Amino acid sequence: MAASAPNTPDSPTPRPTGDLEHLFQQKFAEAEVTPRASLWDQLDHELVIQQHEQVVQENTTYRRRLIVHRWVAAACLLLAFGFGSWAFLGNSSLRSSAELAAGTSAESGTGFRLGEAAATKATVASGASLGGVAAGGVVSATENGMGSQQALEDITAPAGPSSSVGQMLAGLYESVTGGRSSGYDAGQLSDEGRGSRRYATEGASLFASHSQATEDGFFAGAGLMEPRAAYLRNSLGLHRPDTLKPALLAIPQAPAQMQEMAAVEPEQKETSRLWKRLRLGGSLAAGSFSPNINFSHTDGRVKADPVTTALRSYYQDEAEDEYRRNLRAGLSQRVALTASYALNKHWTLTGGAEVAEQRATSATTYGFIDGKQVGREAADIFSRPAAYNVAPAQPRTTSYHYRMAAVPVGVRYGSNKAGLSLYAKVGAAVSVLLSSRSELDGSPEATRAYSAKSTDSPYRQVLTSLRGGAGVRYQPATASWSLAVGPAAETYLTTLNANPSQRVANQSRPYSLGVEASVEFGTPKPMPGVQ
Amino acid sequence: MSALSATLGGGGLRSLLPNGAAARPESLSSSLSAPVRTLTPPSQLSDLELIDGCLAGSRLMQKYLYERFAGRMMAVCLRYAQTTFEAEDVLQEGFLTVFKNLSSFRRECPLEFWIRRIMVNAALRQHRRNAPLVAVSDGGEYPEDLMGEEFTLSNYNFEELLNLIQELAPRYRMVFNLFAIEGYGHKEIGDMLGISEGTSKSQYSRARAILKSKIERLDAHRSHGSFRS
Repeated sequence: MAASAPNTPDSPTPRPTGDLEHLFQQKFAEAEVTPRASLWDQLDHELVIQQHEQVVQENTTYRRRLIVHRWVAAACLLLAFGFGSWAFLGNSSLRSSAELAAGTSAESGTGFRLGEAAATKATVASGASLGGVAAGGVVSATENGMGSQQALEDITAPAGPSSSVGQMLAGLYESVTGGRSSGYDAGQLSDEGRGSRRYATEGASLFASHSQATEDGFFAGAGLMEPRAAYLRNSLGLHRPDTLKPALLAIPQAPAQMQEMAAVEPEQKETSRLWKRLRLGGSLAAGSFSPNINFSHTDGRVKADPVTTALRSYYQDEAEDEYRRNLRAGLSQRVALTASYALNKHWTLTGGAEVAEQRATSATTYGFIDGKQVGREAADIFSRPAAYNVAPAQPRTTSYHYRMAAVPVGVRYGSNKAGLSLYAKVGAAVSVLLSSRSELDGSPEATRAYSAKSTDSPYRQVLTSLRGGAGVRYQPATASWSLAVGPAAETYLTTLNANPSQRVANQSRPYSLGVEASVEFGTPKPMPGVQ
Repeated sequence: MSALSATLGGGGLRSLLPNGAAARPESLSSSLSAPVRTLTPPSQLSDLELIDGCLAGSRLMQKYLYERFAGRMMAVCLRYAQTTFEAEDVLQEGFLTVFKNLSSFRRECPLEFWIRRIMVNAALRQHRRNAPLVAVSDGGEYPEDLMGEEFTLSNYNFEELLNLIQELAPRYRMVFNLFAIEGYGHKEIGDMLGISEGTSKSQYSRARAILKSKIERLDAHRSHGSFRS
């Protein structure tokens, strides 16, 4: 360490004498002491270490955010898969139900296949040779839809041996009464011969009464659910064994009235016109919006060479990091006019136009707004900079406002019928940033405003986003309007800042979560009896 | 700037600089665009050129800036520190702060003044870490006349006065430096050190009395030595 005398030309007031203060001021004013030569190396090393720590910290933050994003993506995929499966199964099961009904109708007039099953069972139970004529007669009788005593009598008369008919009817009776006729031995019935007609008559009457009195309730209970469950089982690979298939086929057929209604509905859909499917409405959404901007250049340095890494300015990095650290989501509001077109019974195509206002806040001790530092217009930001004040500088709040106009399109899945129902929707939107405004708390002169025509705006002018939502839809029974409410989420595919320095995979994009309510007018009134 | 260009190869620097460097002031941009190969001595670079170079991320410019001010700042740090090692710690911490916050320098005051204030604050932080100030009650022991004596300036050199200051107790040394040399008021000093204004005055008067006494002893020693010689 070498000291030099302070007697330079700049020395203040070269008086020969002075008081104690003047003595020290004069001697210390321009004094220089050369530090150790290695001190710069230490300082240089410290600078590199600081920079490295900052990069590590930012990478850690990035990884943490990446984990969150992955969980959100997984949840979204799960949700989408769930809704998709529900929609697909719902559609397919209804279709399979109709197909099953149509198929059995074609096979037999009334669709009762119990006779065939009963005949088979009677053959097994009796162990005797059941003439093909008898079995065929029963089958033809039941297929003709008679199901009455007269029909059975007509069959049994030409069937030849009455014992065969008795066996057949005993089996039929047993099958209809659900095994309660186990007391009647089919062999005995065949031996008795004479009693066969009586049993046949009794069985036929029971069969007829059973089929007429209980089929409606049975069909309403099991008939509607069984096709859906069967389809679900088949889809999941849980087929029934072949030996049980006849029992599956023994499901009673829908009554003619229901079949007629099922047949009428597609015809109505076919005849609906374009304007009947078109609905107009509006929606209002409110939620939390995060611009999620990363002005930092540091993420891009992950794979940069050491020289480039070392050339970063410390201030810039810290200001960018501080902005990200303090960035908070703000209120997001969206108003839209919508038009929807019903593609079919469940799928609806939607579109419209909307305007949105979004807010966010952050804080800075460096006057860092919009990726830039405020200039002389907010000189007070530097009145107490952290650099030369004992007390740490307090960050000052910065607030951001964004106004956008967008054209959203999407599809919605749900019921279009009256009453309460669930819906799910996905879509996309192209947005134009109409204006943005950034304010520094306490320094109104530092406010920055950009319009869509501003060339120096740090924000991207055109953005694209993906949207999704689900909720509850309600339509009064006799009204022509419907109301839907549910959560909605939106994630942008593009960054809000115009020139991100990160790689595409590492860029931070805006997102919002909120609640959306919409109303639609022009909903076709439900058909009486269909609902 | 030219030195930076010469060192890193003129146009080759562009590829090394981050995007932000493109928006730097004209002086830097123009010099970067021209492939100047002549090496400008650091002494011919202005403070603003050094600042621009540092903001562009040039390690060489950082070194030049350090070399320009390290001597004067070391003298400042020595006044506040008790040992040379402690002063070097303060100097290192101060320069780290300088490079970290150089963008916030308003360029309206001399760069040296700004760096000196950073060094003083670094010294205060170091002082707080190493020797917490002990609250001294305001006993009202103010000297009758603070400005009575006259000293012949040429009789004393830097090292002697530096030794006198470093021998003071830390709290006296801080207050004396801040008031007598830096020019802060007692109220500001109280805020900076977390003591009352009266305490600052009291400690300053005590420090002054000690220094005066030591200078008188130094004078006596000299006169005695010269008399004996």
